[in-house]
Amino acid sequence: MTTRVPTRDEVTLIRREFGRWGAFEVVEDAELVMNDDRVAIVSPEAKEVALASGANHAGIDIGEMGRRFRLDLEGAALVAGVSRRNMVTVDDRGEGLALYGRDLFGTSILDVSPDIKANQEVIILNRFGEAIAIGRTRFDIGGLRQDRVTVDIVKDRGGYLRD
Amino acid sequence: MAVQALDFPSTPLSREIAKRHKYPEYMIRRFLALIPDAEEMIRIMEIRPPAHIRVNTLKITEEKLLERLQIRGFELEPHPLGLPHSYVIVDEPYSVGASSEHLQGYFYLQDAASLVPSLALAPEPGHRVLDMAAAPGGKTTHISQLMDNRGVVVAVDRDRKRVRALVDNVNRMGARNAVVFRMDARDVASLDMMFDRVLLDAPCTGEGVIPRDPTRKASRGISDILYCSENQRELIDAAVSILSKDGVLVYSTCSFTPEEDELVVDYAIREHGLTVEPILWGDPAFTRMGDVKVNGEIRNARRFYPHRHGTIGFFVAKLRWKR
Repeated sequence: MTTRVPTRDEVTLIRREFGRWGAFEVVEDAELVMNDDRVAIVSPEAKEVALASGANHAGIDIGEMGRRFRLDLEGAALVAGVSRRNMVTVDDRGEGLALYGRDLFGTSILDVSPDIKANQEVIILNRFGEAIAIGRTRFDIGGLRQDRVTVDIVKDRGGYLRD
Repeated sequence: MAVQALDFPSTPLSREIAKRHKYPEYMIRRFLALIPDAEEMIRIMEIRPPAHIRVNTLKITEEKLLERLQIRGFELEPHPLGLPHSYVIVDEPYSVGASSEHLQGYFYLQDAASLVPSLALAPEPGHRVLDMAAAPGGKTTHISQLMDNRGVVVAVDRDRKRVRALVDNVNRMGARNAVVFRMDARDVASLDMMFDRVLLDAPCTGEGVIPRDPTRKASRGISDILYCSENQRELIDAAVSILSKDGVLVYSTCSFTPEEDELVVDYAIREHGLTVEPILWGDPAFTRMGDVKVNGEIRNARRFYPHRHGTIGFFVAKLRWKR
C-alpha cells in the first residue's frame, strides 16, 4: 500500500458525495490523498512528504473509494460540523447502543432531518450533534420513531475498540 | 564494544522482597542500589495506578471535555506534574476508554510521563518531525497536537499490526499532518530526508510499566536488557544520521535500567558528539551507577518514578549537536 494522488474521476466522486450530504466545502479546497482504497485529508506538507517518499498512509481517512465514494466516520464527523442533511439524533441510551454496533430503536431518536426516506444512509448524531455512527433507515421519516428497530447501524465509533 | 550488564550484591533484603513480590532477584538488587526510596517504589508498584488522559485540543477544548466527562460521572484532577493537558481519572462510573469522548478522539489514554518526550521535543508548526518507533501513536498524535496539525510528523514502525493501530489512532485523533511508513527505524536514512526534530521512544524491556502490567516483572531478563541496549544504540546511530544541524533528538524509554537509559545517552555523547539539554520535569538521571561513571551532562536527562511522580517508570533525554 502506497499513498498516491486521487485521479480526477475519484475527486469528482468524493466531491459529489460530500455535496450530497450538504458539505461540499469540506473537500472543496482540501488536500486529498489515496491510502490504497481509502481517501484521506492531509496537511499540504504531509502530502508532499507522503507522495515523494512512498508512504504507507497519510492524514486522516474520511471514506472509502469503490464504484462510488462512501463516507467513513471521520468523514461523517466533518460533514456533521457543517451540515444537518440526512442526520438522525439519538439520546444517551441510543448513543450507548450505537457505540456497541447495536441497531437503533425509534424510542431513542430525538430528532430527524427533513425528507428522510426508507433505506437511506444517515449519519447518527449524539445529543451534542457529533457523528457517532453511520446507519441505514428501515422506514421513512414517518416511521422512524416506532418502538422497534428503525435504523440499522453500518459503522460506529465503537468499532475502534472491538477491532 | 559489547554492552555489559550492571550488577549489585545480593542481600537478605533483596532476596526477601523478590520472593514477597514475585520479582527476579537481580531486578530488586538493582532497584535497591540505584533508585531513591526503592522499597516504597516496589510497594507502590503493587497498586494499579489510575488512568491518565491527554486532552486532544485538535478536536475539543480542555474546558469542554472536562465538563462533558464530569456530566457523565467521571472525576478528574490535573496530574501533579503540571504538564499541559494532562489529567488523572480519580473516579470513573465505567471505563473511560469506553466513553464516547474517547472513541471520538477527544482524549488519548496516556501516562503523564509519556507526554514529556513530545514536550521536550518542542516541535513547532512547520517543522519536519520524525517519530522513530511510533506505534500505537500516543506520541505521534501528541506531536501533531503541539504542531497544530501544521508541518509534518513522519511516524515509523515496522510491525504490521502495530502500524494498523497507529493509523487507527492517527485517524481517531485527527492528526492530518501525520505520515506513516512501515519500515525498520534503523533504515530511516533511506527516506532521504533531514528532520528538525527526532523522537526515539525506543523499544525497551518496559520495567517501568510494571504498575500497569505486572507480567513485566518476570517476562524480561538480563539478556533482554542487553539485546535492547544494543538495538537502542543502533537506533541512535540511525537517528543522528537524519538529524538536521540545528535539530533536537529526544531519546526515551519506559525502563529503569541504566543500560537502556544513561549508558545509551553516554554512547550518543561519545560516538556522535551530542550534548544533553535540561528538561523541566522529573529527577536528574544518574551519572554514577556503582563503579560505572558516565558523562556529567547526563544529569540533565530525567527519570520518572511511580512513587515520586505518580507516573510509570520513564527516562527522557534531550540531545543536540554540540555547537
